[in-house]
Amino acid sequence: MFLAAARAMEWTLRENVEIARGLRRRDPELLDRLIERYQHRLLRYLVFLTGNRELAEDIFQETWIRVMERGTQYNGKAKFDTWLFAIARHLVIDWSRRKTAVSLEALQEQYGSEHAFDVPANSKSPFDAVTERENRENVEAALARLDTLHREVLVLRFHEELSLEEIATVTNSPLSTVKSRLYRGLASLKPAFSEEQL
Amino acid sequence: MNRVANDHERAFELYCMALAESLSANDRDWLENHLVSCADCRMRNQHTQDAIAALKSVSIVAGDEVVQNTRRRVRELCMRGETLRRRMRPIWISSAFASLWMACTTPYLWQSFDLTGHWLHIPDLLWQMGFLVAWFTPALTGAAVALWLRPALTSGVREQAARAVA
Repeated sequence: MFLAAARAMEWTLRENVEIARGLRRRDPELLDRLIERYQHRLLRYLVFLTGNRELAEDIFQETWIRVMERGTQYNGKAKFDTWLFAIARHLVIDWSRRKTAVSLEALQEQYGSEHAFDVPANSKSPFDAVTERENRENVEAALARLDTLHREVLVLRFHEELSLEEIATVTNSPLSTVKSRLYRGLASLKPAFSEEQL
Repeated sequence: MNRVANDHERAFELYCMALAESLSANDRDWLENHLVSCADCRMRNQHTQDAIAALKSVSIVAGDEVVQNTRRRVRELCMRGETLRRRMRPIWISSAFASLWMACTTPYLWQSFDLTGHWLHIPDLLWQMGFLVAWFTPALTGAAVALWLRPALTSGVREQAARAVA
């Protein structure tokens, strides 16, 4: 068990170093593979962060261009996805600043009420489909009501399954702040969701 | 009354922390004991669990068009950078040689100006200014030529990269 975990960690480290080397060379094949691999996770994070799909898609493209341009800054010591999310986050902040907003919180006011989070429609029975649609609407409403910073931490933790330390790296915040945001996020998600359920 | 409210808050806080990281044995025992005796907290935790499950069920998938456009753009920029680097290579190499040559010959050039200045009885300031002109002229000429050639160097890079990507 321990040996397997150690091997997995070593493999990840080696992979990170390979990615760092490839990024320094601006290897188009590597970038292609990375885009393929992280496409859904990155877009999901951006949609959650901005609450707007079109904007998220624009920043998605910009993020990969920034990855190519600043590839030499990735040293392979941290996980690539952490670095990628941090770049995406900076671009969202840049965008919000250009729009004369002060910080990420301002996105809440601009896009908070829009429903950009889509739950996929699977082929289910009519009853299941109705229940699923109601559930989707509840989730959308609950997420839209959440503060951007809290939503971000919840998504990084429960959707992207990053550790608290990794979230602290992505958000460039102290660990205690991340814990506090997680707690507040869950606390505010719960009433919103349970009220919708009733 | 206050203590009971604090217990509920603490239970929720510990529960949230347990979702993100491991709790200490003491905290875990306290939480388990509290949950056994408190139906409200059990329900609250269940709601939180449901909310997280719902959050996890949200699926956002990147569209093919966006991904393909991104890949094409990134590939094109990579190719453009590579083409430009290839074209700039001779300039860098010649600059390196010129710098090396300058470092090696500067003392001799200075001496020759010094000797000529004394031989022709030219004031020191004058032959020293002559030296500076002679020293800077090749670099300035090289820079001017490079600037003049720059459009020719960079032209067609974009088209070439686009062709390579296609």
